Amino acid sequence: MLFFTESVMCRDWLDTNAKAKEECIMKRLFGGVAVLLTLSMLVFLPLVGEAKEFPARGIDIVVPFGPGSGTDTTMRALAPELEKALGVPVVVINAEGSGGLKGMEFASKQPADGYTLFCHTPTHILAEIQNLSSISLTKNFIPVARLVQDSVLVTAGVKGRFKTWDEMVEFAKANPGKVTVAGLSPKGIDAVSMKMIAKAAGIELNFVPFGGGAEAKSALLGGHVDLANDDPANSIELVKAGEMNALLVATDQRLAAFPDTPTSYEKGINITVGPWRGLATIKGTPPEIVAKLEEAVKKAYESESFQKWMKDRMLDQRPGWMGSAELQKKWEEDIAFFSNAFKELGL
Amino acid sequence: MSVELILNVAILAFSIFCYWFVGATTPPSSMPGIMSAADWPRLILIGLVIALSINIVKLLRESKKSAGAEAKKWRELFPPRFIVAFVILVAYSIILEYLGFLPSTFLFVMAFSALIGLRKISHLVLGALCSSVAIYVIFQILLQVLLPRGMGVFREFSIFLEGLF
Amino acid sequence: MDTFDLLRLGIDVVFTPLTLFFILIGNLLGVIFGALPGVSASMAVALMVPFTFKLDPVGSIAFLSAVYCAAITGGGIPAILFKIPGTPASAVTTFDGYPLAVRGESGRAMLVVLVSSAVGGIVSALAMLLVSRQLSELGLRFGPSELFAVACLGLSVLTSMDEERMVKTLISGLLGLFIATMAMDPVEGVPRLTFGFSYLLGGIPMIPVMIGMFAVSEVLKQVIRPTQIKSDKVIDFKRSRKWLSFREWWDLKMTMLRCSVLGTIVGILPGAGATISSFLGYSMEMKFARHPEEFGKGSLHGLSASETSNNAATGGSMVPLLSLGIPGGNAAAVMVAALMLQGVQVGPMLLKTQPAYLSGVFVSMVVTNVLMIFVAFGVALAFAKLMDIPYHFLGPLIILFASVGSFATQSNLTDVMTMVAAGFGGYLMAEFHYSPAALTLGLVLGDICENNLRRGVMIAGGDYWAMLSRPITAGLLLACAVFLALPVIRRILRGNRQAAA
Repeated sequence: MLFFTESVMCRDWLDTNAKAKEECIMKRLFGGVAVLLTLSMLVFLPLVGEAKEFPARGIDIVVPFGPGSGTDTTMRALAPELEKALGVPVVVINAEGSGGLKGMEFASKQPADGYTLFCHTPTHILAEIQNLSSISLTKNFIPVARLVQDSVLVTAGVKGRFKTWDEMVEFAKANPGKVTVAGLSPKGIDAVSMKMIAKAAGIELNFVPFGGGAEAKSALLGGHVDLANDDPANSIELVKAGEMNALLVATDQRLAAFPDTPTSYEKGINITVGPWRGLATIKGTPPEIVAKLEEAVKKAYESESFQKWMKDRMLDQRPGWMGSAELQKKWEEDIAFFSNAFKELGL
Repeated sequence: MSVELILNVAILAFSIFCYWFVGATTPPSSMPGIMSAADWPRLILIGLVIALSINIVKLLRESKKSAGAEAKKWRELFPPRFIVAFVILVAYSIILEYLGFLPSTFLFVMAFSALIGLRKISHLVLGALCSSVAIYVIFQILLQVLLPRGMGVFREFSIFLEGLF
Repeated sequence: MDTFDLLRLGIDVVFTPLTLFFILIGNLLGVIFGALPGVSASMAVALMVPFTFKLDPVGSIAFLSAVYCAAITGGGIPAILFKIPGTPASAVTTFDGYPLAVRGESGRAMLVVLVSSAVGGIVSALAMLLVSRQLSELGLRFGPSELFAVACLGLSVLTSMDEERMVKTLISGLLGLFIATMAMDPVEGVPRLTFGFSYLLGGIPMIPVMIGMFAVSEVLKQVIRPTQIKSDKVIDFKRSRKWLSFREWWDLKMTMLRCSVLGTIVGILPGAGATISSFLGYSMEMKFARHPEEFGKGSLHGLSASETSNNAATGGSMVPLLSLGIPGGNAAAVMVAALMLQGVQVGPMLLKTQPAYLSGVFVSMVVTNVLMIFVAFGVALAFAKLMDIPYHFLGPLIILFASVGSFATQSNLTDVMTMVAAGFGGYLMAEFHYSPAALTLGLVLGDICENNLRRGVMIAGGDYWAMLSRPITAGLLLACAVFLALPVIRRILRGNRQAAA
């Protein structure tokens, strides 16, 4: 970089012809670069193949979604604490695209040395069921820990047709398919959970997929759709301000922040699915390294600042933490559960 | 036949193939009365086929008028220099994965500078070194963009470099 | 609280030494990041979040919005000089900016870009301050069917981009629309035309295609037919012919005004943003222009249209964020996350209880947009130095910037191959006088067009007529039909006249 600016500056000062100028710069550069190159080689060569105790260098967290997304903000909140726990730098890398698949494929190509963590969500389990990628979460990764679990909240605009869940169910029973609900990807976690809720309630909803949460919410507030599939943190302010009503939350206990919103259990719907975010590493990583990572993540998870972040983000409403073994079980359960759901819903 | 005409015909054939293919590989719409997955691409493909057909007729008419003298020849369109440049680009995009950013970029810049007309070996080496290091410093170190690391010993070299900063 | 009080509140927030210093730094870094391909505006904002811990919440968002505005402007610098859009939003800037640079008028081009950006930014900031409520309500009126009509309006420019070669331009645009359909189907959720490649599930990525079509194909062309790009001594203030005359500025006034309004509105629309805004602004100006045939060949109007609209979208996108708490795009989402880290919940109550946020952002944006002219000019001078490098170094360097730019957003090496392929395609298209610009237009608008059409049909329960006859939709579609048909009719009439003569 330095040489580079120098060469540019040099060009500006001298006013001879271009060829001569180039010559002068090149000669000056040559010495410096040669010395640097030899030096770096001398330092590097002895280091190759040298084994050190884990972690000897920085760790990357691959986030398969863009900056500002839920997974991204979670990981950026966790990273500083994880850095403290491990004693090495932790860098968050966004590799977005194809609904989280590009990031997974990128992560899977990294060596199984524990230096790459992959942030995953049920989206990757659903992708596996649909065979969308040659890489699969359960076959190419090992679980490290689950961090948070969110809940599904069904909301309606205040200017819309429905004020309560029962009102909506009544109308939907009389007019099957006339109630529109905005959500995200058509075979993603929110579509599946919404369809399962509708099925259990004995109604038929018209699920309209939107490109992003903001688009879906604008459509709801503008009265273009009746309902939206949302999460507590992203809707609390609009509900408080009286722009939206929270009709139903898919949990077994009422959420502290939404004391007036009935749960799915109260309405006889035994569904509590909700998106969660976890960390995994590449299959083949030695067990003792996985154990070390799990321990560090747990420490970071329990840190004051991450707990406070979870509270602000309303992710403390349901227990989220799971260790490696538990998450392994959860993966298997989810695969079975969603395969079954796909069959039943005819997706 | 001119290159342009061949390309037009090839895209026309591909469009017709896709018209069939998109219908055969996507399910009918899940709700009666709404657009299925194949409808929108088919709408565009119909437009494309019409536009291409008009264009092909036009091209044929022009080539008859000028008896092929005006149409661009293969040689003119793809001179050896172009082909070499393109091969270097393709090679670069492939070796990035194996050699990592710095080594493959170094090779690429040398090859490309030489192609454009730089002959002095020392200038080639220095130019390649400076530009690859400059980009590396800007993106990897200052902006924390993870550049390709390569595989095997190249990977270890990249990781070692990252560890320095 | 009246406007005057609001304004004073904002000035109090921004004109503290610390905040002002941060805004200045934010300006500089924003412009540089924006000018580096591969760092999108939202990434630039994300990189700056750690610095906000030194500021209070209001200062933070004022600082981040400054970075955002500056990054969008910075994207225009490499677009003019190297034909590489620094951010996707400046893809349109290459259409007219690069031809100007080839002619040795990069200094003029840069001035137009900076002043247009500033005008767009300030007008939209004013709109945000004064009519935020009304604007956000207007934005909410645009449901899927209306957004479909907006996208159609953007596509309607296809027939007038190059009237001499209408069929070729149409083919290019349709190809872009077709390429946009190769992805996961947005409604059924099944792979469509992906031929089994999981790479294609997310669609062919826009940034590598743009960079390949514009920058790589240009380098390939230079390799076989070197044409010296005249390096423009932008620094030479004495030579007045490099500057625009008052007449030339005055000529641009309506373009800037129209595009400011359009950009602000598009910025508010859900799912749109600076990129789509610049394409729409360019399309609209082509309809209004006295010399539409100059567009794409170095028209100052085209250049101004692109940059005014994309900067106006920045103010627009802050409207739903501040008045409803809905982030309109990635950059806004990062701002929400940053505020949340400081314990501030963004929502509709924010504006009512703490107007300082609105006025703080407003003052910061105005300050940024004025400061930016000087900061960005300085950065542009530094970039222009690169033009002095002999082409045997500059050529590979451009390819390097292009490759990193394609790679960085998704960390995916296949994107570099996509870029190379697009470069090859772009070369062929340019040789045979097809339109790479039309192709990118189709690619950018294809998704928003299809997705909203299908959403609209779903919401209307399959009733196409009910969907298309909504007042805003019908009005926009009618305008679109007129725009599409006008050049065709004009051409037929002209043909008849010639035949009669």
